[in-house]
Amino acid sequence: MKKLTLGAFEELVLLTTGVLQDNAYGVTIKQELEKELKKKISLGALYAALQRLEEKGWVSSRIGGITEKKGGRRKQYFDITKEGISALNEVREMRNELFNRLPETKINWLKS
Amino acid sequence: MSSPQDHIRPPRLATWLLESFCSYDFLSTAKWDLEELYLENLESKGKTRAALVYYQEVFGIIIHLFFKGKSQYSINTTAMLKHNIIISLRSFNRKKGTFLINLFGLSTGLAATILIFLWVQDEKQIDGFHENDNLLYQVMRNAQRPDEIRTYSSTPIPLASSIEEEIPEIEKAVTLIKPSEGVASVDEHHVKANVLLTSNSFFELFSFPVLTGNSQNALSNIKSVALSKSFAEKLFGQSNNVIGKSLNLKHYAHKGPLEVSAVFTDPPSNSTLQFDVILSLEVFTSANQWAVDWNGDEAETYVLLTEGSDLNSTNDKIDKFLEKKEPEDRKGTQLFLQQFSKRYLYGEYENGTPIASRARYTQLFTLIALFIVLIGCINFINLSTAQATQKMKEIGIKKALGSKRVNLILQFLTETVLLALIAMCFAVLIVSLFIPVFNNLVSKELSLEFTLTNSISALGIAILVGVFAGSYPAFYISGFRPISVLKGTLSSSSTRKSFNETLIRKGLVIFQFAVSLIFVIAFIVINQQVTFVQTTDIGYDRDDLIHFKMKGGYGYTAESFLAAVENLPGVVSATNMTSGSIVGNPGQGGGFTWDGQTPEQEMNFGRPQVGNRFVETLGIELIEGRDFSNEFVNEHSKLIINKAAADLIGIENIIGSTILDSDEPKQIIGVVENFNTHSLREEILPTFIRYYPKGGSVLLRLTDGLEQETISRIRAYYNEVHPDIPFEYTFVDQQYNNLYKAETRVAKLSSYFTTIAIIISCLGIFGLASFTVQKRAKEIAIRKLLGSSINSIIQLLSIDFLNVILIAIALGIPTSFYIMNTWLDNFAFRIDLKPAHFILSSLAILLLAWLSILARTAKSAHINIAESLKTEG
Repeated sequence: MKKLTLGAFEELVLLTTGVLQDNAYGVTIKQELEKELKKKISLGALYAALQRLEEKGWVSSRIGGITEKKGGRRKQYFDITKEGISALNEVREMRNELFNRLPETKINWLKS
Repeated sequence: MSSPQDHIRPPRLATWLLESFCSYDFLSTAKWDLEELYLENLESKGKTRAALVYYQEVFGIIIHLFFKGKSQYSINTTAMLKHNIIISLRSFNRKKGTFLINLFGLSTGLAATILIFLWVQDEKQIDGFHENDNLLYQVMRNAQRPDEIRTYSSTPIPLASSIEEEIPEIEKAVTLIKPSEGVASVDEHHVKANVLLTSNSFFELFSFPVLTGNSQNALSNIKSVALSKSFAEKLFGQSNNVIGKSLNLKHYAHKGPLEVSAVFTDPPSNSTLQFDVILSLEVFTSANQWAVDWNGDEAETYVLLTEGSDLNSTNDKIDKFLEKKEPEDRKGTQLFLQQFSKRYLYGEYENGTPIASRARYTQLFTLIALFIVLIGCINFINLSTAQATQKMKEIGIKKALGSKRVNLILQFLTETVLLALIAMCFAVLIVSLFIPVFNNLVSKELSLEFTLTNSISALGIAILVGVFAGSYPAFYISGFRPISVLKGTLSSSSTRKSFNETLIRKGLVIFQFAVSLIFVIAFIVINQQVTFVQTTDIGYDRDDLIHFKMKGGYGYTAESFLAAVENLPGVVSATNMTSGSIVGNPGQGGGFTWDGQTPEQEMNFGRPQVGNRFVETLGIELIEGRDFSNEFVNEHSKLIINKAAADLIGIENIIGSTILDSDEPKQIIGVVENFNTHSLREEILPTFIRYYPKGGSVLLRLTDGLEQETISRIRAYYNEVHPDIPFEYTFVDQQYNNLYKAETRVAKLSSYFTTIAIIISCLGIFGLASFTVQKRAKEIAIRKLLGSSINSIIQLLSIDFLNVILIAIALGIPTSFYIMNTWLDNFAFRIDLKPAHFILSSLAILLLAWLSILARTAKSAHINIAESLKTEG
């Protein structure tokens, strides 16, 4: 089976979805990301990423009902799945491992 | 008050777009999220910004999910459109020949349409640029003549101020004396000027914006003058700082110093009024009190109607205005208003009513463009119905799978509209390539501008043409019954239908070729008539004859000038006349009486006033008597008449008899052969040539072959006596040819359009022939196998088409006979329609059609028998 890969933007979306917990849907994810990245995010790009994440089984979605905000209207909520967490972990581990292998001297030399 | 629900609704167009492109999972999600964002933005940023953000997000979603993602997110219509476009492109690719024929036909047709459209548009815009266009009218005058009503644009000078005062519907009126030639000079710098005489309100009626100076009182002072920008530049070298400068003018209305009071923008090229100097009318009227008279028609009158006034009631009031002022002299004279900008297209009058003189040609060409597009459409209709059999399986399967007829129709319409759009692109390309050639032909400066309206109308035309060309094939093909189509029994089970179908196809081909034939015949006849009018004997010899105007008041007389010029080497003989050249000489009217004249004989006569040796110089044939000559005395009381006049008077030995010119008895000294002073559209009038040796229009006969040297000698002499007026001459044969500008132009244009029509038609029949050949490939192979000769196969394949062409010829000949006869009737002198015209053009069409069929059939007659029999299907 082909190895599933997690793109950079997908990773951010996945993380945000996890961070927002029960309140993760289009608007909130978009706003959270915009706040963190300090740039405009198009809903279209966000949906495309969520769609791919859902296909890979890393997020699940459910239609949520009424919220306390603005009389409440329906929205599609996203939740990070167990597989999603492990995918994040995997990426993180890989990154950490690579980071650890960076030569200390080089880092210090570049810092100074 | 609107309900809050309305207020918070996001933009509908954006929602609709979203719905068309996203159908499943994310549609509702997106809508919910977008609505929430919209509401938030509505509060924080206001309605416009919120809507803008909404649109932005919608486009983002469409781009990411539909275009970058997968098409499953689109709803059915969008998916079908995509599918149809792909199918169309594939079918273009598969049948390249047919596609190219259709593309060529439609794009040339559309190119012709665009060119003609631009031209017609330009013609319609002439004089339409005035801001008050819909309220700006010209006063026209109908005068009762013995045999008809004649319409003039000239009116008395006092008319404008009187109607402005007495008729409430007329807001303003202005008198204008038509531009005429003069010379303006500053120091020793002389520039020829086109001088218009009018008063201040001219600038209020017409839109010739004043750049510097005050338009309100530019002409209030009678010694002031307004100049056009380019004229000021020519005269002073600049146009910014010329107010208050003085210049010297030499013009019949005023000779002497004037002060510049205003500079106005040059009249645009689509203005029929062309002038560069405006002089106060008063400077003329104060010096020439005789001109301010209700009896003279010295000027033109233009009026500005009050907004919302009724034209009919205004016309009623102005109708008898002149008759009331001068009951005796103006009996039966009527005045009426005509919109100024309409005068260009409807500038001629027949018995008092305007006729569409120029508009006739714009209408004609619109019709021609329409026919060319139609011929192109017919190609598409024929080829696609003929090839329908190849699409049968596709249709059958689609229908069996549950496709509705509407969907199939849409599929075919997509194909044609796509084709038409591609053709439109090519048409625009062709137009931009050929517009300089076309401009040259119609002597205009047209350009293709990509404005919004132009683009939308081009798109609209393309879609319209596509739908028109595609509708019949679409309905026809989508009407197949799936069972018979899939069984392959369509052709046998519905013979009636296929019979109808062939009939329609043949009918369309007949139409195509009949139209082409009419074009060819029209082309030949128009060209022959134009050649005829240009080469026919018009009663005088117009070769090597030059004409120029001489200005008086330089201390010499016309007689002495002519005598000097006549002595120059290369000048054969010289004469002069009044009011312009021999071509279009305006001397016409009544006033000749003789013994035994009946009332019907009191008609419109030609009455030119000419100098010595007129008959000899022009080379008019003298039947009896003698020419005017300064060797005789008292020539003023003599007349030369033309043959038409002699026949009208009808007495024998007419030389020496006496005729009353008004109340002055004059003796006839000569009879000459009839000669045309106007275009051959008009009959020759009975003409009485009067003697007046002081006319300012000089006609010189030059020695053949020495024209240029002689002209430079004349120029040298002319410059000696008129140091400040440039010498400008024209050849009389050129003046004569200019009378037929419109016809010459039509003749040239018709050659192009005829060629296009023929090429498109022939391509169409070529396409049909190749289709037949394909369909009958097996039959041909078997016939060859059984020993049929190549000739007999070609004959077999061509005979059907040739029959159709013959029917087209049979229909085209009488139609073109009728049309061309009507056109030729415009001319008093015309060629006769000869059988040769029709036979030759029919043969040409037949030959061309036959060649296009032959090109295809000959190849197929040489096919390899084994190749075509080997394959099943």
